Amino acid sequence: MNILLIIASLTTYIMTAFFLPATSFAFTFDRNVPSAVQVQMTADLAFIKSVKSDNQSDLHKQIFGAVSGDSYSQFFNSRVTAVGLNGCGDSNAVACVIPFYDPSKMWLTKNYIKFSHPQVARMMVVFHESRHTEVRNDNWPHANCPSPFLGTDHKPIRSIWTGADLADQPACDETPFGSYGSSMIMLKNISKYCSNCSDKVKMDASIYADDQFKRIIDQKAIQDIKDDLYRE
Amino acid sequence: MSRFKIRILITCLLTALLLFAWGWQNKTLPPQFTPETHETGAAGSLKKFLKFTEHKSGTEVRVPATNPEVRAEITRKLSILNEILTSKNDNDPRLDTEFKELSAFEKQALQDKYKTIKPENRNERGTLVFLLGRQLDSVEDFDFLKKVVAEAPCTNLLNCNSRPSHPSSHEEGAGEIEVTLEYPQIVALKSLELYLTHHPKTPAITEILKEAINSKNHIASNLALSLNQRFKE
Repeated sequence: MNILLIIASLTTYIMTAFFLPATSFAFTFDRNVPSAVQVQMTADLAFIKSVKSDNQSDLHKQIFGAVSGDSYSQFFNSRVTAVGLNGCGDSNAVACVIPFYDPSKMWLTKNYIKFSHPQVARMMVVFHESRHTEVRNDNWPHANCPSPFLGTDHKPIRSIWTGADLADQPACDETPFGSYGSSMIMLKNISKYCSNCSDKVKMDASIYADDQFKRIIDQKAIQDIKDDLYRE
Repeated sequence: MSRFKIRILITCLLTALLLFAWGWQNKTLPPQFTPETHETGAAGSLKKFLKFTEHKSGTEVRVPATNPEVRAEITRKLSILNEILTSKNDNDPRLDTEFKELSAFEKQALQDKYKTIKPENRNERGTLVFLLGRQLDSVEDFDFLKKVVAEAPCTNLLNCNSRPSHPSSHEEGAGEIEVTLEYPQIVALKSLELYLTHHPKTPAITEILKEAINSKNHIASNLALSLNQRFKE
């Protein structure tokens, strides 16, 4: 019976490896990551690997280099060596990094395939988390949002989950180079400069980048990003 | 043959059988037309439609009964759309080659398709809104967007009608979830924004923006408010 189980597992492993689309991303999946999650993430990374462009913003150049699949795969490969399965302590989470456990490991939740996010939104989460692997930068910790934390309508920005005010919550950044900043800069650049992205991808990238921009709270950082990406 | 070899053989056979069954279950079946027809007043004139049943979802989409070529083209485009939605590849180039110049019948088929997609499939619904919002040239097109922005909020990505998920231990991911919850509405407003840049005086859009401003989708409401102010002058 044990031999049969071993053979069945081996067969599944071989079949999974055989059917997964090939990419040049170097990380490994833990064996307990469901194959559907593996397939989706591999396909999403293959999409990111395919991105081409002739231009990029200055901030993008500083963080990633060119707007290109090669730059993004190099960025990811140099930070994430393994991907595992975890609940990330939050029923709404899609991915997380737990630095004290393993700073180079990213954890995905089953929400990665359960939630119907656009493809660039999934990649935004993955690249946001990959920024948190950087031990040399203290994992780019978030800043507490200001109090009061007001939206463009001058009303307090609240969590849709709890209804709680996000003021004083660690859900903001004070720099363009943290997780919120870097991932929104990546997406805004894809939106503006990707030469082989569909119109939908470019629209999505702009929608999610503009939303993440709200989490940047330092006035100089906001101005730097505006100058870099929002000037006509 | 040893018992060990027999077990390996059985495992391989079972795996092959499983793969075959999986492939069979996922293969795209041709759509089935039913002989029943009914009439609709879409596009300002009465047109005969056939009910069209998609095997995979078991849902109904209407296609015109009159012209077999039109019908075949709609069937082909719906089949491509299903492939793209199933693949979850938003960068499929066919989104920009096959769906840029839609006929009134094709738009009607896509609007019918929208109604068949579960509300939780936010990206699929938003994709349909994107395709239809890219080519706004009839009253029906604007009516469709008006209905989209007036939809009741989806409060949970796993079940739109249930209460929001448990509170987060931190709010890091709330942003993208909130946008995805309102994704079809945001895409509708982005389509209108693009249209307004070329046609700033469009009364039909003013009505849609009012609807969106009054909706309980708060990102969409704020976006509609800013569009309304921007294009008011």
